[in-house]
Amino acid sequence: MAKRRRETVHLGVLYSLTGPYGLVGREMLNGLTLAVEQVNSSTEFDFQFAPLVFDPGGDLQNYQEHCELLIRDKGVRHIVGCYTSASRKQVLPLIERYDRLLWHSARYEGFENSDNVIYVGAAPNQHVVPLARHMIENLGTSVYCVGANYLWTWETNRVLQEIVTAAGGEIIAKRLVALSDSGIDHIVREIIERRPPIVFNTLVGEASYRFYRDLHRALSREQARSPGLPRPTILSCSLCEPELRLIGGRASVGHITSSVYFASIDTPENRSFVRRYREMFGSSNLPSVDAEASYLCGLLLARAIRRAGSTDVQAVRAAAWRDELQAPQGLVRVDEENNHCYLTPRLARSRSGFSFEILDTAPAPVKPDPYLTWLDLDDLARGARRRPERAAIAGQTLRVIK
Amino acid sequence: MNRRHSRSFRGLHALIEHPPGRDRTVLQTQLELLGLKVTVHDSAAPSHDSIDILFFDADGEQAFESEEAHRDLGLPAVALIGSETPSRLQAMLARQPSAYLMKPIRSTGIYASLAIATHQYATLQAMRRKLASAEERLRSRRLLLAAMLQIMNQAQVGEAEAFRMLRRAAMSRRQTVEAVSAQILAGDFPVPRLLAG
Repeated sequence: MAKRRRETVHLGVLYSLTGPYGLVGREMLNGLTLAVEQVNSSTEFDFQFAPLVFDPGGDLQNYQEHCELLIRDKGVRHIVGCYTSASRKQVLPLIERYDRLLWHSARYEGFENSDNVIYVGAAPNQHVVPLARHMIENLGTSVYCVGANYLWTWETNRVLQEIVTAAGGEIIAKRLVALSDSGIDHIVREIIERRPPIVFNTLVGEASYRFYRDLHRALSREQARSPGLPRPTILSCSLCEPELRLIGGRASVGHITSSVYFASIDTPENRSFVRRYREMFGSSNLPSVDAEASYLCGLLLARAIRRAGSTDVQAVRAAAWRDELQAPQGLVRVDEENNHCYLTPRLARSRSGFSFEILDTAPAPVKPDPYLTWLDLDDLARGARRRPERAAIAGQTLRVIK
Repeated sequence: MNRRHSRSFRGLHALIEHPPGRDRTVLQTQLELLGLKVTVHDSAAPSHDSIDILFFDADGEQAFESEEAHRDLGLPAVALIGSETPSRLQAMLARQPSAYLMKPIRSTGIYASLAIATHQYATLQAMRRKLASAEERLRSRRLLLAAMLQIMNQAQVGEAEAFRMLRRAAMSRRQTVEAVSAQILAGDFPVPRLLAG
């Protein structure tokens, strides 16, 4: 059979495979590689992807230079990449100036909508808001925040604070550590002393893994001395399967994460995704939310190119708006209003074996709301768990001052 | 001294608090083109002495506790904004900028930001001065009234005459009527002397 030569579409890839968040970069590249493999081996597509992978190594200046190389020297129209907001802000001016399309897989804090970005990662109403809702409805409204001192922490803490305050609760403390710093001993000590019922963690990388491990060890010591002491629940919007393995053992169990994807989602689409992922990257590996998102970037792009019959940015964007994808996480589509995606928020608890048990799944994909325009604090607060002891204390201490 | 025309910013000393990179370079180059003397600092500078206008990074690390007190910089400031998240905007507003520029910084818009920042800051300062003097007068109002009542009682005069006496005393001592009122109430300036005045 004479096979028609398939056209090659060069695809820019800007993921930091080395450097401080190299682990996530490699996860994302895995997801994208799976999508590229799927497209290239399928007869449904009359083109083949040829990825041009650049590794900025987490260096902001490199993001800019590599992006410029991809656009000007390699002539790519579509780039999959970035992880931190700082890196996205570096390349955005170039992407916009040359009218290219950035396929962005990472969840982020919102408050942006560029015509030249397809935001495939979760928006704030799809990660921190569902987590805060779960917290005030089921766990309590008194929370201790610990995180790396950067934009993601500042903004998720702010959203959490607004919701907690509306529910009549409080942020007990906000402890920030420098991004490059993994010294968290003083924070572990303070948590042992103050015993907050809930801890919200936005630490990054090694600092975060150490925090889980050291706090677990310290709490176990305390419990050995006085059994029955409650353990604080640790909440996160980013803890994922490969990280559980890095935390290791008992310390990785029992933490709550809000995410649009967990490898334990029980659907035919996801079972097949996990199986192919393991075949390609090793049987002990489970795909993370970032791997699924970059897989979706590749697939949404391929389907849009097929539908548009071209790689032209305007045509591809318009085609992407009309697509509906049965993704591993469920139905995904791009919202024409803001270029973000309808995604399905979930809450899960980590269990032994480095995986998650899903506690709650949104009944349908949730419309993205990057500016939290439609956040209704009164509605959220109505569902808050009423804590009688708090109300009683307030009643005792509130006096009319004349 | 060189005279510059009203719309020139020549000779002003600008401080840029921003990490190195393209944004800072574009800003510095354009400001120098406009005749400003430019000092750059990678983060917040320890001192703003001899600075006429400040350009600060609204994306930089904030104080570890975000509820930092509003500090009056005492000079016109232009915020350089990348992230539009409310937490960042709140920290930026705490520094009370008079104008802003969106990143990526382009040469276009920098001149306008200078014009807006210096004008807004001058307007704000004038309003602050007015407000301070109005507040001072308001506070003294009670003193003035009490002093007038004392004069009216002791000298057995009407309201108009009491105020004339007070004003005469103030003018002869080159003080404000409020200051003389305070002295009368404190007993430092007996009413008979006022009558003699």
